[in-house]
Amino acid sequence: MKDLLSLADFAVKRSQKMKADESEAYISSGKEIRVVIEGKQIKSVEVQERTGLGMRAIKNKGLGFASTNQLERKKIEEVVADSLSLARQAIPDQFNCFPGPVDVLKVELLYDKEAENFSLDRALEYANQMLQTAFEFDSRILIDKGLFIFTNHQRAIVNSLGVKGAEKETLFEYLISGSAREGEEITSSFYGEEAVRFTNQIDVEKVAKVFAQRAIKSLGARPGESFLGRVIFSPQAVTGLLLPIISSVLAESVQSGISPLKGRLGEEIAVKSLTIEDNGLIPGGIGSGSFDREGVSPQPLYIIRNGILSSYLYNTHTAKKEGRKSTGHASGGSRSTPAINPTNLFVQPGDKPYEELIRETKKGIFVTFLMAYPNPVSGDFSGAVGGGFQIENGEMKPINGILVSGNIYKVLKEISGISKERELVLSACPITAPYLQMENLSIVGN
Amino acid sequence: MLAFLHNQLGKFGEVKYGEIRFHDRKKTEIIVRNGELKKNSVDNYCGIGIRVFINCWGFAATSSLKKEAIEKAIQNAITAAKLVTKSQDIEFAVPKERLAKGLFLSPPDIDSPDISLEEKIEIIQRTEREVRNSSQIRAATVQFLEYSDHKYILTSDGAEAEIKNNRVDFKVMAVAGKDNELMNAREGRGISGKLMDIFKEKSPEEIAQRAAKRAIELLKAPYPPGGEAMVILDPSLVGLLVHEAIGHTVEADDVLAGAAAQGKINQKVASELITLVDNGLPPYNNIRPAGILLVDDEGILSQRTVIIENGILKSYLHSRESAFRLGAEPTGNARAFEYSNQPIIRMSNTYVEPGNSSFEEIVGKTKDGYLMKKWAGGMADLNGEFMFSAEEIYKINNGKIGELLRGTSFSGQAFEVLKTVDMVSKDFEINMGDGHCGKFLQQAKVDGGGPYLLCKVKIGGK
Repeated sequence: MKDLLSLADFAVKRSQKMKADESEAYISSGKEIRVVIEGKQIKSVEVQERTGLGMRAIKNKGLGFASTNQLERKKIEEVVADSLSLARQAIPDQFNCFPGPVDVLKVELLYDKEAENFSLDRALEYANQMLQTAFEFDSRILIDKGLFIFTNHQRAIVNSLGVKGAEKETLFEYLISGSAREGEEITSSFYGEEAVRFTNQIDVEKVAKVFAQRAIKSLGARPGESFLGRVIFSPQAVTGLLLPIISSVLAESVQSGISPLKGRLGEEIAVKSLTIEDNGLIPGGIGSGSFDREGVSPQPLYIIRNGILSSYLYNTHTAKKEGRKSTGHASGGSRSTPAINPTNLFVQPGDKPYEELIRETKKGIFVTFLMAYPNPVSGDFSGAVGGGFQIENGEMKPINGILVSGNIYKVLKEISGISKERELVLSACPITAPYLQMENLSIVGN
Repeated sequence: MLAFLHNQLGKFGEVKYGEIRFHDRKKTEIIVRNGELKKNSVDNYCGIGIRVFINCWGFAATSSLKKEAIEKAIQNAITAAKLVTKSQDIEFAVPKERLAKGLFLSPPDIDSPDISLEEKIEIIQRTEREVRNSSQIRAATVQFLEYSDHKYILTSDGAEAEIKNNRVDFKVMAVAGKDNELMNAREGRGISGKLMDIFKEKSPEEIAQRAAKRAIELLKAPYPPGGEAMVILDPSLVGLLVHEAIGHTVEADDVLAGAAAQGKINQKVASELITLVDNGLPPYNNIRPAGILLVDDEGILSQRTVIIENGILKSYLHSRESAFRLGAEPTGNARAFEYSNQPIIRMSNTYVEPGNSSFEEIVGKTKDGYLMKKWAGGMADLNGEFMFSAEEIYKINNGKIGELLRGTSFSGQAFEVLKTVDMVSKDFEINMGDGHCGKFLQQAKVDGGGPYLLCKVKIGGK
């Protein structure tokens, strides 16, 4: 880590010497082991080291960015010069600036010292175990792909205003996907996945069983019928509906006028029972870190609290525009300029077990996966359902060929039930979500 | 460089197959939004990927080009490939004439001078201003992305190719608004070539005006009703359909995993009006599609692969490995996005060949249906089920194009939908090259298209 900090320091000093007004260097370095499963077998074993330097420079309020994955002095010098020359050619923007020194809160449980010696053999063992578990679960299981990835990663940031930070993290990610086949019938694709930070938390069998159960349960599906009414979404499907809403609370979307949530802070945009928090300081969190892409500690905040739109997420540039401080949500790595993203999202749970929500439903649809691209600007969505079930008097029967449509902003007021159970879904960002029950959704089927 | 890499190949020892890929990429990105320069960046990403097959694939990558670093990567790849102890009976032999040798340039005039970065920024700024020319436009974004690639690919069976290619994307987004309601529209183009090549078809101003006009019109447009309907898909949606819902199911790695096309070679899978190809070679119009691929990342020469011929499934898309496992020839579809990615089976330019009807005839024959235009995302499953979004939809009544409706999604099972195809137009375009295809955590620049098709799908509306 000392090495990374001194390289970043070297780059910033060099940039300052070349007369940049402000300079920032972000460096990352890591080792990755990856085992790939394809079909019935181990396809490949991969090992690599990755490094990267992302350099930002401001000159006369113009901003330039250049990056390289080769950390030799000569390359660093080139990138420092390139970022400055891009800054000189840029359109000036009075809000271009980097953050000054900040108090960095140390997040615990991000690094597993034991994992420093994690070997290729062990990665292969875990991958094999995941594969075997899925196979032995049921002979009708078809495996498409599987992955086991271990990363040992460190990052450092230095800027000319006094920001300095370095951090190490370890991460194990594993997933398995496929479907179930019986005779001519092939179900839609299902997957199971998990990410943990410590060796002793790895549980590949659980993930394999979740995947296999989902696939087998949806065999024997019949075409679903059109209707208007209640839909219960799994945590995975909920994520697909909520993430576009989250993209509309990013200050960049708000300020540029593409967010329908612009100017609506303090307004009741959802039912009272809906609360969504962002917390990047959770010990061991998959999206946690002591500092963001600009060196600022992420500030825990409510995005929606008891139905009321409570906060937007900022990086330094967007915060400066409103004369406020960054909330520490600058995201990205060494290969691009900081964007804005949530860290760890939490949807507050309700008080009923999800099985009770289903049991109490006379007529409705249960959605395991939603294949949809909600349009965050208009809010319109309409998507195909994977792992759909018809609920009739509390009983679930698999169905296929249905589409659900609506508007993501409008359905926030149609939530009629939130489950007690929550699951961590690793989507574009980690989100811990419950099952959500919504009314008045339009289903197109046969 | 070539001689140096050739020497490294000699250090592989006993392997069934091995390859060295050097890939130096420069990625330039410029984004202007509402008059502000949001992105002005250059990313340099360079290194060597080593892959060998012993008992399984072993892969290692290094960003350092020093001899010691490369030797270490070779050792790492060999160790990884021996971890699986059970040996496999597999061969990677390909006919010599399919191995790439020499220099490959795409576009052919790649080394001719390009406009400067400052000029590019100026064009992007000008385009963005043009979008905001109307009072109903609330926001505008123009994005430029360029990949300049220089590669060497060497394989243990004798492929030795140097490749240079250049690809650009130019995207315009307009957001129109009225009260609390917002609506967006997008125009985009991705090609093999340079920024100015994109404007051979339409000027930046014309692209900007189209996006702005459509966002404003869509804001007022009503929603279509949901249900089954006869639709005319435009070339971009045909491209999306055949790429996502057919193309991925004929990628042989997915075939081996049980995709819908498994076991269907020589069976009828579509209407006899459908001939579907994947073609990495430059096709016949003056704009070069984004998916051009002269040599794949296993050193195999690209080709035109007929996937479906007059409705009959003829071929899958192969890598060296899948070709052996399924008793076929490699089709040159193994691609790696960057040096640090392993080659996997990907498409290049995937399109339906043009037919005999005119667009007007197809509209004229449609009694009650919709014209669906402009792809706006979508996904498909390995069982062929898909869900795509169209940005603009027009009602067709008694052979006449009527009112504009809001975009929505449509779905179906791709092979079933292709069986319902009644008419195929002469009008033909390959134009879905902006953006990326993602498969298994790896991106690729691909393209696709085709003629206008009349078929039956399920629309998700109100």
